Amino acid sequence: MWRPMTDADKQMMSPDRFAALAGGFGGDLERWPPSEREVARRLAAARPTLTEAVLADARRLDRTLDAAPAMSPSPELRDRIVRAAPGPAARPTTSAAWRWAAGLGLAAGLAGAAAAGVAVAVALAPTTLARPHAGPTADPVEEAALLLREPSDLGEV
Amino acid sequence: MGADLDDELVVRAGRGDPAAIRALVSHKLPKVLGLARRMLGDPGDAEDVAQETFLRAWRFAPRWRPGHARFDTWLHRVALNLCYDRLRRRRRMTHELPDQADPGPGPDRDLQARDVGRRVDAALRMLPPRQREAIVLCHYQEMTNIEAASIMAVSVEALESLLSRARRALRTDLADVAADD
Repeated sequence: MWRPMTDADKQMMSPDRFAALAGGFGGDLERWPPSEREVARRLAAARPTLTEAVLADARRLDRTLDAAPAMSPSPELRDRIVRAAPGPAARPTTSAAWRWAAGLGLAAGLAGAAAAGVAVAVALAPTTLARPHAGPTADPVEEAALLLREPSDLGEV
Repeated sequence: MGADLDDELVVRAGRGDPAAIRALVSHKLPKVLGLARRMLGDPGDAEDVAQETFLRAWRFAPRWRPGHARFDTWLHRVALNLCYDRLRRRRRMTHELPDQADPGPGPDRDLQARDVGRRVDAALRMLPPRQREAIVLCHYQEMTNIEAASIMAVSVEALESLLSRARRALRTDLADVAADD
């Protein structure tokens, strides 16, 4: 029987979108994009015969993927990593260097050098950014900047 | 572990606080190791990557500025970069030794079918690295689409596309395994 479309109907997810999300994120709605979970749940409640088959199929692949071997850290690895951590005397080297430079009255000179460094960095930036995922660097700050870089040449997006 | 608690631990670890160091290792090492294991498929390489990731974290910790970035995101990105470094090295070696057999999973399906885990591991390794990265972050590391997209520096739409293609390929590759489930 025909009935007018309610607000809930209007906010209902399409079956195609539901299937696409199951195809990408699997059969557990908790792993779906948070912004779409609620409307997905509504569709699942309203049309269980349609959605249950989609979810069951996705869950089968989830379970298969879960069979991949897991790996727990060995005590030796934990120990090696903990031993390599900074000791209580560790201090930021940049701060120490800065205090030393300031003590010698070289702050003004460093400011000039820094400006020149920025200019060089700007000039080199396109080259650096054109080398996506260039791998780890010696400088952890640069490492963090890698977050902004483009995907690797190893695979397509 | 929440982002705020991570920040506090990283700052304390940077000062050499043993409790914070142990807490960070305890919370983050299994995730980093799992990530490397899934990306590389080799336990030895995964251990090396996990160790190197933490060495970089320890070097960075004294300079960590709370509130600027999520430590978890940073740690995953560093680990993934190290993984890509190794994958690149492997690829170069494969190119330099063209007469050698493909070091990837063999086609002996009958043998591998006895071990579902090995089959899944092999199927993951057959994926293009970016698709594998998406599956590892979302399925195995249980990250949200926003977190994974941030780590991969792609849009959430691009992430969804990578995931869909990855799962489609895995479904095909593991069809006989899934059917037995």
